[in-house]
Amino acid sequence: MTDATPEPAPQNATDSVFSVKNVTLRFGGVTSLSDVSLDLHRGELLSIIGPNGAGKTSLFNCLTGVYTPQEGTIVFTSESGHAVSVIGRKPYKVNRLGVARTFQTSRMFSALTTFENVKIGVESKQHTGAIGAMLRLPRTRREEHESDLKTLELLKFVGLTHRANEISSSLPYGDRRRLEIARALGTRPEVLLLDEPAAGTNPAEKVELGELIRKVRSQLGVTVLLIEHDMKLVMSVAERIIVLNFGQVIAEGSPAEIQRDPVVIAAYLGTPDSETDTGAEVL
Amino acid sequence: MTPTGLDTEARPGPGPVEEAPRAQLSKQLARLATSTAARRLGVCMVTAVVVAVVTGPPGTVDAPTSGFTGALQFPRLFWFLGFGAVIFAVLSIWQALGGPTTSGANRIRSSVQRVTGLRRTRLALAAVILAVGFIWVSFIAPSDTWKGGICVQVGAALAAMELVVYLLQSHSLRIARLGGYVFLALYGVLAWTHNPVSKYLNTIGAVPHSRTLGLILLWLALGLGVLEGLLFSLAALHRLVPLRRDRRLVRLAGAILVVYGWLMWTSWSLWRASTPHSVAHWFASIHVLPHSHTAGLVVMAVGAVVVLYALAGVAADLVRALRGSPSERGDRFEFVGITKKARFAYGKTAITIAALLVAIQWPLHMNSGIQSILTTQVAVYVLLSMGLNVVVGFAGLLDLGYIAFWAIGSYTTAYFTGALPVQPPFILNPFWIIPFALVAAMLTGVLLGTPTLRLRGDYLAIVTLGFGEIIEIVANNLDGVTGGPAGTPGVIPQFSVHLLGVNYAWTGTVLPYYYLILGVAVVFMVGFSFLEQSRVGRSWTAIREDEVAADSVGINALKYKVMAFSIGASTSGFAGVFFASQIQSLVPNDFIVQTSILVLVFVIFGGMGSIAGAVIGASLIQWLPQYLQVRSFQDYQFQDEFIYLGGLLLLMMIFRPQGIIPSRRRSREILLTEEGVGHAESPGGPVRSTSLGETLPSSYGKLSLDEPGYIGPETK
Repeated sequence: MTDATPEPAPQNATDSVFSVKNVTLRFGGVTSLSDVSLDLHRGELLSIIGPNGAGKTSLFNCLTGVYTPQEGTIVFTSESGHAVSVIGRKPYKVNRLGVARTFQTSRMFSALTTFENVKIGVESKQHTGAIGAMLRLPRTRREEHESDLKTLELLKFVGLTHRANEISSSLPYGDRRRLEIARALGTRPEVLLLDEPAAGTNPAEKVELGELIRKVRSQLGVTVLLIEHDMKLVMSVAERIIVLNFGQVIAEGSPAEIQRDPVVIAAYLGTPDSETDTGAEVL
Repeated sequence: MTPTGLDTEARPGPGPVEEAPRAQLSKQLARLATSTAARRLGVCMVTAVVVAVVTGPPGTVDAPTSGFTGALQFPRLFWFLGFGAVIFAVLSIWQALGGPTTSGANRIRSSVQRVTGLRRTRLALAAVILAVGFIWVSFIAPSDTWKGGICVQVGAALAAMELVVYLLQSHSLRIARLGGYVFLALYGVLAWTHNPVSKYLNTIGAVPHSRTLGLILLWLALGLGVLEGLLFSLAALHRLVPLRRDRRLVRLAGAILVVYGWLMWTSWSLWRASTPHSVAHWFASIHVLPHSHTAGLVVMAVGAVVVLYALAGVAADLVRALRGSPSERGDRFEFVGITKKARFAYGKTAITIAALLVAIQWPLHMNSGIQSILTTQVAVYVLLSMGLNVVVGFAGLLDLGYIAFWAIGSYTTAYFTGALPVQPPFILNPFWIIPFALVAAMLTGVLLGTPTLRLRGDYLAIVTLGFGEIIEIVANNLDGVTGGPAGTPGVIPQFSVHLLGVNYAWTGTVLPYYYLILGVAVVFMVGFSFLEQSRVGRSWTAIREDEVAADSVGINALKYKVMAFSIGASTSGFAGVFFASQIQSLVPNDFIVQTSILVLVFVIFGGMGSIAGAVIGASLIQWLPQYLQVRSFQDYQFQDEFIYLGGLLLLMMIFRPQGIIPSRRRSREILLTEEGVGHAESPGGPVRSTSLGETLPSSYGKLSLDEPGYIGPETK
């Protein structure tokens, strides 16, 4: 841990960005999330781990408005103190509240260049409409210029400047992940949700990725919620970890606590008939 | 699929040695025939023959095929094939020097060499076109000089463009623009003056001898140059005192109005006093300014108000700047350059310039029959096709009832000109109907789009198809409103202008209409290309490629889809005004569903998402059948049109699914789909392949920041 301030997690409600209470999500007869409650505190780097099918991505989709849970509340509190319920809100509206995400499988706009990909994120909060764009009114040009600058800044931040004009689908995996993070950051979020950013990257890229995630939090002050299978990355980056299994929160605590927790070890190593061997290698 | 040479070489398996020599030979032949070089040669030769036929002598009624045979006589055909071979050679050299498809060796080559190499080949291309023009005039068609003349003009324009690009890359945008104005002025001088050079150029048809045209061009170049200078000095001023840019523009507009008004006013008074040696008088004599006392005063007053308003703003800015408000300082308008460079595509600009030169001059030399085909059958459809391209190409929405909006625009025109059985509250000149038609079509688009665009693509196609049918049936059956199947009872008047001392009516020949629509089409073309490269255009691409991801970055997909749909609709309505006032009487049969399909074919044929493609698609498909009838091919029946079109589409889908002139983004998408990486339509699936870097031509969007072609800050 490079961070010098391991502050104790503040428990008062005003300080949480996301407050999830008793959320239950079902698909037909399958319960994906059952009675999940958790708080994401402002400025922290929280990681959610759990075996495959534990409901991590479902939780993400609930937080970003893709899924509507049948029960429970999800409240997003913005920096200005304005609290809104996320449930029932369309994903693009959730994004405008200040929640940005990446996807488990990278979803870039593959026929566009890296620069254009990030620029789309940056531009999403601008106001240029069709008429302004067709006539290239002064405001359009100004906004175009502003988003150009911001995009370059973001590309520099994630270290993709040298690939700015390449088509995004020609990028290697690690760069795609960083591109997605840059695009998400372009929407100026308060919270960044990362869904398995290290999937498909090599060890060197993982180290860089970990640094980037820490930089997002420390330099941009963005709260980060991370889903990850790679325990090395999680343990080195996260300040707090929540463990999900079968749609339920089974443990919560600092990385050191989680590594010792017998319930977590059981969930990962499994009872003899379980086949999840992901945890066995890394824990 | 046909294996390329590379594939067969790389593939392991039974070696070619074991095969029979005959099989081996045929395999080699097949490989040769499917190689890019062979295909390119084939295309060049076929195009040469087609051009030979198209430009050949017309057939007569007695000998219907005489035009055809005349066009393909020995020396003539030989010339054309020769040109085809030259173009093939130039293309091959271009590619070898690092053109569109770059091989590994070329990639290693430094970018400096690549740029200069490209420049050399481009200049060679311009020279070849120039030479072709001269040869044509001198040897092939001495009686038909205008064809060679256009060729010469295109060659010269390309050379000029090369110079502008050079200036753009080595200096600044401003100097490059000045270079362009110099060329414009040069052309103007050649058209205006009497000297051996201009006389010679006139005889070969390269430069028309017209004092008016020359003067207009000269003044245009001068005016733009002066404007450039003004903007430059304003920019310099801006460096000293940061001002808001819109305020600067307002001030400039005001100044222009004041000067114009003053000249109008004085020209009138000086005319009365008959003092010939004055600027204003001279302006009046060349019809640049109308001379009207009152109008001059009014314009001046308006200009003064504008200037005062801007100056007040400037004063406020100055005060703020002196107080040192940080937000007003700083280099807000310094240019980043990266998108500007991406926006400038040499090939596109070159084709546009050439096409525009042809489009302006060609109809002048045609008989009135062809002129009227170009206006009623081609120009209007080009407008329609460009509008549908926004819906289908940019936003990826399948609209099968596009013509309904055209009908709405047309019937709005008929209504407001009093040509329908129902009388309007006021009767308008067609020009003033344009906003009404735009709004009517756009509103219909929004009303239809908002509920249906929530559905997936296929449903939209069905809904719009139904809507198109409804509009046609309503027009047919609502006798009391539309006049029913017999058409509008009244006559829709043609365009006319009565403003500020200008009186002009688009009556008589069809040519003025053609130029009006051409002008409008150019404006739309520029507007849509800005749109494509803007936030809106990128959002459309994002939605088309991956709606989920677009949603996650805060793009409201429904809003943008409705936007695209209504932009398409209003363009269609706009075209309706021109159609109605040109044809002067509407029949519901003009708006059948087949026409919608036809316009869709233009867009697909030309290349979805490509503006140039939409224009070329519409012009070619609309023009060719008409032309074939005018020429010797009298066996051709209009009723058969859709058979040919269907066949054409089938062939296109097999051999060139991206269309004639594909858009870069679209053809990338198709390439990715063929790779199995994504889907050409939304929503794109997960991306898996990592080998795309090798399969995509490296020219796709690649540009490094330190390349000499990179455009730095606009003003240094």
